[in-house]
Formats: sequence, C-alpha cells, structure tokens
Amino acid sequence: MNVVRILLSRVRGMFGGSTRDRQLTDEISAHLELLTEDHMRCGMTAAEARAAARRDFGGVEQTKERYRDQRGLPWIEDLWRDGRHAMRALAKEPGFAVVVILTLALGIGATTAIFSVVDAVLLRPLAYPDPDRLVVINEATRTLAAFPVNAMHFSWWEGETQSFEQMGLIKEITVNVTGAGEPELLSGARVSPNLFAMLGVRMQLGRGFMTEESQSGRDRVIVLEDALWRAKFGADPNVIGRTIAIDSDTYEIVGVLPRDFRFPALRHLMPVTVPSVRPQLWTPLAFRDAERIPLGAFNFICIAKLKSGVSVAQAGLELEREQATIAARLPQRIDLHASVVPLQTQIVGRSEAGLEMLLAAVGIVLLIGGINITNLLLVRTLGRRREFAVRAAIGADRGRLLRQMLAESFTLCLLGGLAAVGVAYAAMQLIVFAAPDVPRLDEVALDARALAFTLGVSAFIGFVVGVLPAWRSVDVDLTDALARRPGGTTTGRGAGRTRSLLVGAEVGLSAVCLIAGGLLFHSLFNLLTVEKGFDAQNLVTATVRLPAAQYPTIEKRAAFRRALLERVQAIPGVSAVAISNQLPLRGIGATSVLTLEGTTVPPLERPALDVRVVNPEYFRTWGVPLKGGRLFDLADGNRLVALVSEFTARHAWPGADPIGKRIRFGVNLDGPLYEVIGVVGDVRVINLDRAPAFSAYVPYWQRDSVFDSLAIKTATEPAAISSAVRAAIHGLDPDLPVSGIQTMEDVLAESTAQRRFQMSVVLLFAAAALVLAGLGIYGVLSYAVGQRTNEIGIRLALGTDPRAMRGMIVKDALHLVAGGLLVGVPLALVAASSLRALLFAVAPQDLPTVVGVCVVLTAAAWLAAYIPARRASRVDPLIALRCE
Amino acid sequence: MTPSPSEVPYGTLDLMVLQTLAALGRLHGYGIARRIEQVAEGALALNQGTIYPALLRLEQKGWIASDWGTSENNRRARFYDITRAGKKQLAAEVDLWERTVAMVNRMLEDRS
Repeated sequence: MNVVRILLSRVRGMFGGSTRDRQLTDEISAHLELLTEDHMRCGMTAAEARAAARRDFGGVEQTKERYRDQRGLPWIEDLWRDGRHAMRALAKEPGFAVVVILTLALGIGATTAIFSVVDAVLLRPLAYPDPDRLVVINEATRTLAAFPVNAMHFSWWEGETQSFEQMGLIKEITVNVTGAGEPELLSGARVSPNLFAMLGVRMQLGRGFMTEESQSGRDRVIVLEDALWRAKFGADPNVIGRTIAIDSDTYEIVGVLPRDFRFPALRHLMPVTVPSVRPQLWTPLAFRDAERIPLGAFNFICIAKLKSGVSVAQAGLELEREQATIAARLPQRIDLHASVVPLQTQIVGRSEAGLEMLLAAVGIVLLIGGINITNLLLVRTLGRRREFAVRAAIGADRGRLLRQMLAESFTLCLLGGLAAVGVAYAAMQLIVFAAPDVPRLDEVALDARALAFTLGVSAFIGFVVGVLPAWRSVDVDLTDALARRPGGTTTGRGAGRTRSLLVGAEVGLSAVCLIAGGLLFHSLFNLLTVEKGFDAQNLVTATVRLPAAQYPTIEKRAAFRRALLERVQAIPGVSAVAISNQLPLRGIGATSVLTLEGTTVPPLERPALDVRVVNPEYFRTWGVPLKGGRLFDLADGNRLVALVSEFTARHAWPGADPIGKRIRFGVNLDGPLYEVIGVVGDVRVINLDRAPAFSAYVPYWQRDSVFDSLAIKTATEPAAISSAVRAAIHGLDPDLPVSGIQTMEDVLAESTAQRRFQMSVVLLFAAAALVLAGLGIYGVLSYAVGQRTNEIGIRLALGTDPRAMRGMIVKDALHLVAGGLLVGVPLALVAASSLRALLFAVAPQDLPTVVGVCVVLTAAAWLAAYIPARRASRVDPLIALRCE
Repeated sequence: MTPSPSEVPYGTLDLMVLQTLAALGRLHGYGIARRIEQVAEGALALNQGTIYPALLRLEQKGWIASDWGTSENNRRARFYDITRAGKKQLAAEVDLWERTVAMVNRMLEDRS
C-alpha cells in the first residue's frame, strides 16, 4: 500500500520538474533569509549573517540534488539522461556508430534468424495435444538399428500392450486421381481411423474416419488436406459427399482437414531414407492380404500415444518383451527388437546436428563481432582518458562515469538490435526458402520469442562489450592522465595487451568457423566426385504409375512398357531409353531381401537387396558396365533371369562364380527362383553418400513394379524433349498423369542440396569471421603504429632499414595469429567431432583442412598488417620528432 | 549524489521532524530546523538543508502534508503539518525508540 503510494508520488515527481525546482528554490531562499535575519538579530553584519546562514544550511546545490533524487525515480531519469548523452556522443562520431550498429545488426539479425529456426524446429513442442506423449515405434534386429513396422506385429501390440492409450499406422501411397480436373499423381496416406483423434485434429468440414472404415470394402472414403481442397475443388464448401476416382476406384469425400493442421513429410517419420512427401489425401487403412504375411512387408509408420504417466523407456521395455514373444512363436529363430522414439525426436532428429552447427557458427560470428566492437570502444576510451580524468578530478562519481560509458554501449547495441529485427526477418525468409528438407519449417516465424531473444542478446552484448572499456575508462590514475598531454607518447602496456588478447581470441574463434566450413566443403567435394557408378549427363527422367484397374496383369503392364519404350526411342534426339521401378538417388524404395537358394540364414538376418526392374537398354543408358556373364534380352522370355552387382557377387558368393547361381527376392522360400546370368558395375542407387551394397536387376516383363520411371539419354540439350515424352505417354493413355520430369543433373543437385546449403551458410559465416578477425588485427596494428610514431621515427632516424620496420609490424601480426591458432585449432578439432554426422569421407581431424585454414588465416593477417606496416616504414623522422 | 556526512544518527531525523510537528503544529522548514537545534541545545550539528529531502520523504509516505502560506517576514513559504497517519507512525516510532534505548541501556549497564 505504502510502497504503491511512494512509487506513484515518485513517478509524479518525474514530471513538471521546472515548477517543482522553482518551488524548492523559493523554499530554500525563504529559509536562508529567515536564518540571515536571525543571525543579524544576534548582532552580525549583513555579510557575516549571510555567510553564517549558508554555513548552517550546508550546500544548497547538494540539498537540491538530494531533494531531486528523493522526488523522482533517479535511476530512470539518469538512464534517460545517459541515453541522450550517449546519442549525442555517438552522433559526433557517425562513422564509428554506423560501423558498430551495422556489425551488430548483421550479427544479431543472423543469430536471431537461426535461433528462430532452431526454436521452431527443434525446441518448440509439436502442435498436437500432449505432444510429449506421442511416440513413433520402429522395429529392429541385432543388425538393423531401426526399420518400419510389420502390420501383424502392430496388431499384436495393439492387443497385448498396456503402455499405450492409442496406436495407429500410416502407409504411404501415391495415387492417380481422376474425376476432378486434370488427372494427377498425388501423394497420400492410408491411416488407422483413430489417427486424427490421436493427434487432436478436428475437421474443418465433414468428419474423420470411423472405426468400421478400416474394414476392407468400407474404406472407400477420403479426407482432403486443406491445400488440395483449395487447389482442386476451389474451396467448395459442398465438397462433402462428392466422389472422385482414385486409381479408378470411387471414393467419397467425407472430410477436409483444417488449414493449420501440421503434418510432416512421411520421410521424416521413417527411420530409413525415402523420398516420401507430406500426404495430400488420406484414406482409412484396411489391411490387404499381402500386408498380413508374417515377416513380410515392414513398411508401416507406427504412431502411438503413451498412457499418461508412462515413460518412453517403460513403453520400450514392454515392447521389447512383446517382440520376444512374437519371435518365439515364429517358425524361424529370429532376433526381434523394437524402439520407441518421441515423435518430435523422430521428426526433427536428423536436422538437429545441422541446425545446431549453424547456430554455433552464427554465435561465433556474433562473438567475434562483439570483440571487434569491444576493441573499438577501448580505443575510443583511450582517446577520452583525459576527459574522464578531468571529470573525476572535479568530483564526478566513478560509478556515475561507469554507468555513462555502459549507457553508450547499451545504446549502440539496442540500436543494433533494432536494425537486427529487419535483418532477422529477411534472413529467416531466405532460410525458409532455401533450406532443403528441414521439417517444421512452415512453423518458423519472427514471433514474440524471437523478438525477446533479439532484445536479450542485444542487452547482453551491450553489457559484455561495454564493461571492459567502461572499467578501463574510469580506472584511471588521475595525476598520470592529467599530466600527460593529449596525444602523448605511449600508453600503458596493459591496454595494448588486452586488445592483443582479444584479437587473438578472434583469430581462434574464426579458426573454429573456418575449419567447420572447410570440413563441410571437403565433404561436399568428396561427395560430388565420388564414384557414382552411373553417368547422369544428358538424362531426362519421367515417372508414371499404371493403375491396377486398367492394367490388371503383368502382361498388360509389360505390353504398355514395351510400347512406351518404342515410342520414346523414336523421338528425334533420343539415343537410349531406360525404364525402371525406381530412379537412382531416390532412397530405398526398391528394397527387398536377398534369399540365396538353399540358405539357412534366418529371414531378418539376410541382407537387404535393392531390386531394380529394368529393360535391357538400362545399362547402356545409365552407363553401367557389364563385368561378367551377359545382359538379359527379350529372348529370355519367361526364363527367370537376374543380374547382380559386383558387390553382391563378391559378398553373396565369396570366391565362387556367381553365374548360374539362383536367388529369391524376399523372405518367402516358396518365391520364384531367378538365375544369375551376369554381373554389372556397382551403383550408388539409394543416395550419393551410401556406399553400394547388395543390388540386383531383373527384366520388367518378369517382375512387376508400381512405378515406371523413364530415363532418356539425349544427344542434345535434355530439357527440350520433355514435351515430346509427355506426348508419347499420353499417346498411349491420355488419363495417365506424368510426374517427375526433370534432368538427372537436377536430381543429382537435389540430392546434395542439404549439404550444399549447410556448407554455404557455414562458409558465409566463416568468411564473415575471417573479415572481422582481419579488421581486428588491422585495428590493433594501425593503432599501435599510430602510438609508436615517435619511436619509429627515432629508429628510422638512427638508420633502421624501413623494410625491417615493416617486418617488425608484420611479425606482430603473425604473433597474434599464431597465438590465436594455438588455441583455436585444438578447440576446433574438439568441436568438429560433433560434426561427424554431417561429414562425408572426411575425418573431423582432417589435416588438409586444418593446414588450409592456418594458411588462410596467416594470409589474412599478413594482408591486414600490410597497410599499417607500410605506414610504419614511411614515417618521416622529422615530422615524427616534431610531434614530440 | 555525493552524500554529505550527517551527524544526525541515521533514521532519527524523521522522528525528530514528526515530533516537532506533533508538538508545535504547522511550521515551515526553517521553523522545524530551528526547533530541532534548540531542543538539541547545540549537541547536534544539523546541516539545515538536510531536512528538505526528509520532509519530502515524509510527505511521500503520507505522514505529513504541506501547503503554501506567508512567513513571519511576509514571504511565501511552505508550511508542513503532521497527518493522522503521521501521528500513528510517530506513536509507533516513539514506542520502538524507547524500547530500543531501554535495551541498549541495559546492555551498557551490564558492562560495568
């Protein structure tokens, strides 16, 4: 109560200062007059009485000052005054102010942008109710860390486990949608009906799925994503009840998801490398017969919600027990495990290392920028020592001076922070636009948290960069500072040493940044020059998907493929055409299991095998060499034949001739046997950074596939033939959507986009760090040369060679760098270990990178020393001595 | 900001001002200062100026009130008077003071 009244009265006291001051003056002068009169009554003369009155009263000005402090809120008034004073002081040196504010705006802005991304992607909980109870379940074996889930195992878990409130499956689908505008190839998902309820989603139109819709025959209903509803149906509110054809089956639209429903691309939910995107349409999951084979397909995503109070670890233990039970009931002896991963970890886990690296890099740049500003402020302080000494001598309180200096750095940093908001906004847009394959990027925004972060960082930097210069400026020996003429000979060694230490730290920190950038650069270089096993030049790709209704049998499909190949081959400029179920560098979509004839290895311990369903021309088109045996051709007819890669030949039949051996695809021992007739070169089929492994090729007329991807080798500019390819496909079937028309060079670029992005950003930061460190070295040296003009002049006058003079300055620079590297390189090597996941074929302690960085930093230091060194060698002894 | 040394024991000036106003009624700053000096009989070197921040402090707490009037030499002067809250506060502080002094006295007696 009292506190509030005092505060209110004090806040009131901050205003109307001049009236109140006048009243106080009146009151005091009345007091003095009465006092004087009293003294005169006691017999003093007027002059004596006035003097005595003043003595009795004490300092009039001190009284007023204390009165004012009591009246208002002095610290706010002081802050305001200090701020204004700081603005005035900075306005007198606009160059200095602009450099500092720009440095800060860029540093803080970039840091804020990356912080916002890290915050939105990694830190903030997912936008579902009880996000910390949502988990993903993966299966595992002793040899395979994590893979998607088998439908039968899921059903078992659903019946037997106690840890989960709900669980649901998701299966990726790609479908031809007709009956609403152009035929289109869309990505979707078959999901357990309870998934939307588990994620707390309420449809903006219609309803979600009902439990009975997971029965086969009742599953012909569909839920649309908001964007698809807008694009394909013009946001028609009466869309519920309409039907569309999905792969020629009729589906009824029952719901539209809300606009703010966020769901990751399915690849981010899977523990394996696949290109799956975000689903646009959703149907209920009714199991097909082929999905109910024990140890058959492991390709479902399983999302579950833990019961309240059950931990991830407890659920994991329970699942492990159930997996052991399942394994015990199987005819084969297998070793089955499972892992429970928080949903958020599953989605963003793979982005973590990259984003954290970017945050660290930008933090280092900000730190270096801060050190540079500290140095600038220190130099400025040295120039103002006399001013401060004078003010201290006439009674200024040191705390007061300290506060004023800090006010200047705070003002600078807050102005920098203000400008940083704009920079952050622009940088964030750029990152969201350019960052490849980062989940949750649509949640990034310059929100209150980001602004609070900017403010916090600005204030922190303001304090950190200001405190040392401020302390130096008031920690002055008065006699010393006053006795010395302005611009005098030497300053204390202490200040110079502090600045050299700071610059050494800058060099060390930029070494960390540069080494990180160098490692990523080296990785990308290795990746781009790695032996791919195929030739991507002049290749155009296109993908179609034959719907089962029109193409029910493999014969019909094979006939379509044969006709398509003939038509495309006939396009002018086409030199070769390949068809396959999957293009290289598109993940593991073609993966099966290699079962050798007569094997005794348990199913889950047999190697994963990449099976490509191709035409004989495939190998010539992609430039994959034949290493032994022969290629297949149409004459092989129905005699089941296969080609294997060199790796497969070497590892499946070590020391034996693979030709004539027979293999099965998949775990089923009743499956058809294919005879190996040839060996071809190894290809990086899954990803550029994945070394070639087990791989086999079979003729397209012998084994079926869902997708048909063409790769067309052209003699000329590849992009020009895309419309001819489309026409060729539509000439055979006008209802067939064509997707993925792009050059293989683009696919290749896409597959390295993430690394390129990370490397570019880190190199950008490293360059900034290098420039800032160079400026720091330059600043220290040129200040030192300026301070030592006299000394240098005397030395030159005594006959020192100007070149030796120059060498002395350069040596100073190299000392700074050597000191910085001595600390920075070991630091970088320790830090680089955390980059391991982002590197390719490069050790974190890569020697060429370290040496390169040392060379670059030394060169930068030499460059930074050049101008000061030249100035030193050209000092005119006469002028230098006259300065004295 | 530079604190001028006050030889008035810390915290007792407020008490003295309140007691003066309670005893003599409405007074201006000079009157209060004189009264305190008289009562102290030269035992207290009061910098008279120091009572003004004290007066403001007391007014902010609501223990005294002020208004403008005319002094005995016909000048405009500010007069202060104790409020009801001020009287209550004075009673409380006098009580506290007496207990404190009594306690300190007992301690000092123990010494002999």
